[in-house]
Amino acid sequence: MVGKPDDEAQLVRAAQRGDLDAFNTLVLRYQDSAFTLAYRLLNDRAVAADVAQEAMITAFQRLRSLRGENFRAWLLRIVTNRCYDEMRRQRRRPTVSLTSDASDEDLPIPDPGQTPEEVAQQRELEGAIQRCIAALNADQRLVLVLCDVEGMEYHDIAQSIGAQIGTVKSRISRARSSVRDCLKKVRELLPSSYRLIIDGENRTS
Amino acid sequence: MITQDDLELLNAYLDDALSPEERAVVDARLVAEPALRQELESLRATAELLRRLPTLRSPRDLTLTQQMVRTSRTLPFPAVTVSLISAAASIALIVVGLVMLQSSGQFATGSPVSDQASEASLTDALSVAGLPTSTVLPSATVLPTLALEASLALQNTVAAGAEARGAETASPPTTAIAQPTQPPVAKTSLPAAALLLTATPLPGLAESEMRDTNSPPVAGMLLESTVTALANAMDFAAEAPAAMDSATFMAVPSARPDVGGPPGEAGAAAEELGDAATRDDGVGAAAPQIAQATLLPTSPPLAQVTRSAPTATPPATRTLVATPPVEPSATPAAPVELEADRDEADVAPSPDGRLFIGLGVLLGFVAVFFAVWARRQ
Repeated sequence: MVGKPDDEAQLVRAAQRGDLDAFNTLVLRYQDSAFTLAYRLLNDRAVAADVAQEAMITAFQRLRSLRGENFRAWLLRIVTNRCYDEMRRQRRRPTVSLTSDASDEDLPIPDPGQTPEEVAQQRELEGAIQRCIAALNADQRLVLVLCDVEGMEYHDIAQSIGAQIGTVKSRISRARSSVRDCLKKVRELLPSSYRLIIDGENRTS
Repeated sequence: MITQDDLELLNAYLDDALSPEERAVVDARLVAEPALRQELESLRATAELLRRLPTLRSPRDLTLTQQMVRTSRTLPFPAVTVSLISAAASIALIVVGLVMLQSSGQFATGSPVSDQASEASLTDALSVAGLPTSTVLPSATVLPTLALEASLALQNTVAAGAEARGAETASPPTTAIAQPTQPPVAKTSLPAAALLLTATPLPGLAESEMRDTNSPPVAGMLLESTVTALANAMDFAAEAPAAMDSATFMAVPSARPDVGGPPGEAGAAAEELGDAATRDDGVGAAAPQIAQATLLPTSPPLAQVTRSAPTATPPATRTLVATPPVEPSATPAAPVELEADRDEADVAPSPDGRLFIGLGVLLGFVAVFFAVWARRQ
């Protein structure tokens, strides 16, 4: 999926000179990542696709500001910012349902080794996790997705959203605990190896 | 019992976001507290489930077309460009405005309009007062603009005199000191320029000293006329609270002199000054009374005006002495050309300098606004 670094650097340089075909090659390479991030944050296919599209346009406009940085990380930061704006807009005018609307066409091609039942269970579990993420408030959702879905470190998250490290720590802790508690309610969907671990007896004060 | 602090600690532990010391503490607690260990494993499993979420396929290609790029390129407002242009224009306008103000209020080599205005203010004042032009000391190689500076100092004296009204203390002399805290130095930075707008009187390089040996009305004529000449240029400093805050006025009413002659047509300001000087009637013929207004900027003194009124029926003479603080030979001084037929309308200095500075400050705010906007984009 990810091209060779030197190939990517050449594409970026060509795109910076205004070569739209080169930029579109990069778009095709990372559009799924951009859409997935937007969907995890916004929980709406259509809105996520629109936001990802806008992020691509913004990226092309600001391509000159890209100096030696990893293109994917830079692009996903733009997507995150656009999603954050959208979440703030939704917070003012909440219209998004908490129900995940992922359709089959969005999902990755199933592993050929999986049985149809396993594929169905897997998708059900992913839907349940997505709903748990969507149930978080916007601030907690943002940091949790950046941390656990995108694998970003606390420092980078703090820089990306303009918050203190302590705030990021606190939000991630609350968000992850909330998702854990949410998943306990759908423990039957969890793999058996996770079921006992997730379903602990400890309670927080 | 697991607290929220414990949860935060455990999640940071999972994400490898603890210092070595904090990590060691958590490790020790994990060995000693099974509940904490179980909580950690629960959170770890949750994080793993989240990380195993697959990458979804975009429902459509997000590639860009020429039309999308062309359209989008025209849509975003060029906030950075506008901010930079506004900032540059702001600085330029403020600098130009300051130069215009300085040239109109200080330098003899300023604009012809300013020179005429300052000359006219002096000559008008003298002619209205009925004084022959020869009463101006011939040795006073007065720069035309000194009249403006003298009027500035007199304006301060008026303010001090007004404050002194009603004051019962009788002690010589009447002194008004205005000490601006901002040196009148042109600066290009916006805040400094804004301060300059509100807190700085017109700068001057010369020191003028005017002695009025007798009548307040005569002083009033000169005062009112010259104050009028400078009124526009001083509006900012006179009206802005910052200017008032930065100036300290001290007024001590003096033993009263006998002032010959009624106030006549002198302006109200001059009457106030006269009243202030004549308030304490009981003292009578005391030592020569001095009403002194001294403008003391942090830079070299700008202007100093001394008005002294002697006791009984003094001769109606007045002197106007202007002394540049630098060597006279180094100052391109010229004798005052006195003309009594100036039109009053010519007296007011051009307000263009203030206009430029005002526009500059306005553009400065525009620049800051768009800079903030661009940063938020």
